[in-house]
Amino acid sequence: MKTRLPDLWGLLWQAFYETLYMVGLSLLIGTLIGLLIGLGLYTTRAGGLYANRPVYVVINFVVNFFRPIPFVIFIGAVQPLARLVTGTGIGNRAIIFGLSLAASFMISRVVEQNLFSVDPGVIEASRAMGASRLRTVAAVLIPEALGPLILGLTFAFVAVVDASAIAGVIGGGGLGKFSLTYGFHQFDTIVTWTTVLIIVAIVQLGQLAGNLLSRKVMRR
Amino acid sequence: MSLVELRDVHKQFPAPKTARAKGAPPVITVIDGVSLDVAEGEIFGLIGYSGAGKSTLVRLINALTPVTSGSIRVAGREVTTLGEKDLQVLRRDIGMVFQQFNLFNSRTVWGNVSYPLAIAGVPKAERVGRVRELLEFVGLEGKFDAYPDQLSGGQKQRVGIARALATRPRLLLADEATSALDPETTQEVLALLRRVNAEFGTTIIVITHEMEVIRTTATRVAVLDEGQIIEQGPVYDVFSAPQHPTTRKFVATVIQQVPDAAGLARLRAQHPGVLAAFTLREGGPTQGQFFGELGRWGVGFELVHGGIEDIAGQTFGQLVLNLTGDEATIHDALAGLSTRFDVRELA
Repeated sequence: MKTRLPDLWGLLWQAFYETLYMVGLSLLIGTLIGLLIGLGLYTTRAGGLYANRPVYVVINFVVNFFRPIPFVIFIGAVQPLARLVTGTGIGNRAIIFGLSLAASFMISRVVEQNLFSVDPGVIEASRAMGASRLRTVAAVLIPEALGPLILGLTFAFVAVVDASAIAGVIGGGGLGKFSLTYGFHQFDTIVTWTTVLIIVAIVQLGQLAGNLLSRKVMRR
Repeated sequence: MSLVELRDVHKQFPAPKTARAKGAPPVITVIDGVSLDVAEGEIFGLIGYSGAGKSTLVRLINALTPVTSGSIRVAGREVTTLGEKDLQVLRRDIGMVFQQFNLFNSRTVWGNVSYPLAIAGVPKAERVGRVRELLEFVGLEGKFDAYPDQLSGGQKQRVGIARALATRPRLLLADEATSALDPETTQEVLALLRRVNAEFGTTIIVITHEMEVIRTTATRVAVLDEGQIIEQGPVYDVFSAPQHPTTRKFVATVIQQVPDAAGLARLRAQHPGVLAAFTLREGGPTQGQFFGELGRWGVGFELVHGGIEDIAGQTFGQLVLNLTGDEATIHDALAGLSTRFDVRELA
């Protein structure tokens, strides 16, 4: 089988680095924003620490509205917003913006679900001891949910790697673009499968790290 | 002076949508006009079936649940009108122990017990000493660095008690603190609560559905039924002369009562003589006096049902006797004895 792989190592390395950069930064921003939205969803719900129906309904609607949009459409749809925020509608900066936004919505649900696994009794105990609501969130709610939260973020990481492959659509780089350009479009199956293996390796390593970390946090 | 004072307290919750759709009233009244006083230094028992409103009532006291109407005073301070900041300060003076312990699983025993101290702003060095002192008090010196999942139920509850006592609260609320524990561990935890009361003078409100807890631990008791206090008083009085049918049911779980009609019929089938009930009370005439007197009348007797109990450290007995001999003499004897003793023929 003919392959140009030996000539492409430099580009492949570049694509690998771009993917890590896009995924890493998007996951970081998505986690921070997703954590805030997730906490918002959890605490403003009826019976929550900051129970507030109108706020809950709004957040819930926004998350439900954006989350199901397929990423390849989403990235196009938020392009004007990306241009507004990052100054450009194309390339890696724009894709990081879109990825972060999509990750935020996804992670907010992951966070909300994992916070539900926390026994409401410990929140009540914290309040009964005279802790403020903010302290209860920071010192009890999040630490109690941390193990499953890390597993949830690991799941989100895999989804972000998946979504990052679409970067090429708006002129971004990374392994997805590389694979399509030099593998699929050139009928170079070896190049395609090399990128597949690299992506699988990234996902496996991420999954392994997440599992180890959550196990350490949960002491199991 | 009363440490806790409730006056005509009501709590209503909105009814679920499904119930309202069927024409049910828009609110459910869970606490319906409760007034009670808990004196400083006592162990006050609050008993009721599940759904009676006990847990809601206790959460009104530290305002974890806001009242609908009425007045609640803790140490002379009206809590129903306090703002969030003042409530936080108030709650540091009210410890709370829970049925499911509610320990923080992500924290060690040290992390759990020191948490209320951190909230109260106690410096770390001081916290370490206080936590060691508390763990010694509850008998868990070796568990400083253990995680809750490494402890047994009884140990968890002792950590819960240590945590609740950390800031030296004047009031301790124990919400079904022993309901998740086996009988032996229950006794250990109750003994610990009694020790807290005796050594620190901490006022304790014990919420339970188990009369045994009240019998061994409380000094006074209130019976809550459908959101209302149906009976309250010193534990001995309520146990020895329950007035309300619900109270009688509770009392019957720990003290043998005079059997009902069916039980009496069974006894009668086995014992052909005259059945009589004799009630023995602390401070009243003794068993010796009663049985001596019965002997002088020439009436034979055997104990066929009942027993003698310790209620809050005092004696109480409800005995069913089968009296034998000449029937006319037995009736004369009962008539004569009933002037001095609590005895009556069971028809």
